[in-house]
Amino acid sequence: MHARLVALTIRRILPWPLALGIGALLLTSVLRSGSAPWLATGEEALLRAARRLDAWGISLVFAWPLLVARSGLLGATRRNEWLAPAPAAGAALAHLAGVLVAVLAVVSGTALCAELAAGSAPHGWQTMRRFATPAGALFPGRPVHWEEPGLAHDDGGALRLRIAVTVAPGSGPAATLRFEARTRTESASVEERVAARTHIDLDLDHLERDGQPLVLELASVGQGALPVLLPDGLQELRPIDSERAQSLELALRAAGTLAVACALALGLAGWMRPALAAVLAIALVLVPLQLGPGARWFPAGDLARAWGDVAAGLAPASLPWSAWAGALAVVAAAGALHGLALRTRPEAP
Amino acid sequence: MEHDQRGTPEGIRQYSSAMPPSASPPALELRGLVKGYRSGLFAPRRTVLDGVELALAPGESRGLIGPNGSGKSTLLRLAAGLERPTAGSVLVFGRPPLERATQARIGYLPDGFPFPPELSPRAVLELLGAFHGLPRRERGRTAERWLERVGLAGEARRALRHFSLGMRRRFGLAQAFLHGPDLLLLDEPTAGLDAQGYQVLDELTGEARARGAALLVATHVPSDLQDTCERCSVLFSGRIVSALATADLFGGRSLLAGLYRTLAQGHQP
Repeated sequence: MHARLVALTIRRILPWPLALGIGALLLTSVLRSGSAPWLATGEEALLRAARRLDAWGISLVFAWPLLVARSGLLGATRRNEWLAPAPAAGAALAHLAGVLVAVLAVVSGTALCAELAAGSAPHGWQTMRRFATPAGALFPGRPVHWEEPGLAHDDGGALRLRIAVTVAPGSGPAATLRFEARTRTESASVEERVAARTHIDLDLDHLERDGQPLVLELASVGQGALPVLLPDGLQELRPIDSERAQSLELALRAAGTLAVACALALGLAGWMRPALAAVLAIALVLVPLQLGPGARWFPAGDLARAWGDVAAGLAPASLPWSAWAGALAVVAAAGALHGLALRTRPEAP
Repeated sequence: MEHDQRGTPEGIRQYSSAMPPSASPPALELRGLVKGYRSGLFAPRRTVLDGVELALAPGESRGLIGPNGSGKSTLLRLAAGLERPTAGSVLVFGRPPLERATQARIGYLPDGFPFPPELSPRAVLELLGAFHGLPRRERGRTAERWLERVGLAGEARRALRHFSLGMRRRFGLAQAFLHGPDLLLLDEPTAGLDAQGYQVLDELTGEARARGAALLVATHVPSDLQDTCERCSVLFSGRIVSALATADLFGGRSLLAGLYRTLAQGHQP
């Protein structure tokens, strides 16, 4: 692999005018983002999250498609004719390395700008797991309760449960909800007034579980609107040292998703028109996004959910190893496809 | 090998096209070469080369003339291994041109300019030197030597995107001759060259012939072949229709235009 060819690839994927443009847009987001909305006390984390997502949004809308399109151009057969004397595998590897470095540069630049925009980074919370809930309407005097064995183990650390609820439209202005968690011996509960789609947090720091199954109960208290418990709406949250983990987790997913998209565009461009290769690469990356969290083999699988977590002021859960294995396999396959195109010179489209 | 006796105007001699018997494989051998392109997924394939037969002996120099769109550049691209034929075969010294060892024996001057415009000529020559297996220490010196040879020593560190057409052609010559290839495929080598450039081209082709390299030169201007090629093949409508003595084509543009006209009439149903 020729270092000079890697450097040339980076220049071709991310030429300085493009890098400068992206940098300027990101800096604008640092300086101008985050007009102060009406926030309740203690909800500053949401404002910081919004500032973070401003930077990530600019990157997603402007930088990512450009990078994928330029990767497609790089893989075009005609553009690589001058590499005919080069070993195809070495040239393909150099191209792939250059593309990955460019991806890392854009993602880390975005993460840096996102953190500059967000400002201070106090302790935060990270989503560890999500649980299914018995979704449905909560009628007065008929609380919903269910057992969650996944929360039986007590590792001694702080634990917060967050449950997503809303009120049925037209049923009234608001309702009071009581969320309770109990073991055989102890219980903890919280009561909140709910007027729209929101969440209720319940801290379980002092609840001794010791392997006892945790029984959860949600009840509508008094008169008011008809509350609704949302499906898959229970989250297990753990405290983290710094809120910056939000950008870190998002950056890991972004790097994996963008690397896969760019590698696919590079690999496919030798066999079809570069523009078509770029569009197809984006479409293929969107497939696991559509499949949702079930698609654990690709970093794009829970990108939307991770985005939602950050918007809610939470750090997304760490990516499973299977996502990295899936990304690596696709990048390797795309690299092999590019190498094959360099070696066999299929008919130029 | 080349065939057809049709349409040769009076005054132009047909040349024997048989390759002299030799133990070594031909420098370039095209057998029943067909190349077609589709302009769209469902569009019919347009045939550019239609059963080309050509053999170029080691050390032989041959011109390739033909009207616009006759397939000269396509033929050279196929010979250089930049494209794959639709049918038929291309062999360079008995081996497929896509093989890396074969690539090391081919020097190709393209009609266009596929080199990275962001880089300087020196950087590209160094990279190409590396691809051809030149030792790291020699790459810089070799690149400088070749740039000096083609008159681009003063432009060694300027990006290729700033080069004029003539400078690009000179650079093209440097990269084609860089590794001392045994088969040179030159596509319109004089296009855009000035008088000094012509001189450089003559010197380089002369040296290549002296060391026994084979040359295939595609051109529109027969006088370009005057000192290089004794024979030339005429490519018309995707076929090699004649092998001629180059000297017979020096009668000016009207002679060549007459030849193409006659061939066109001969091809009409």
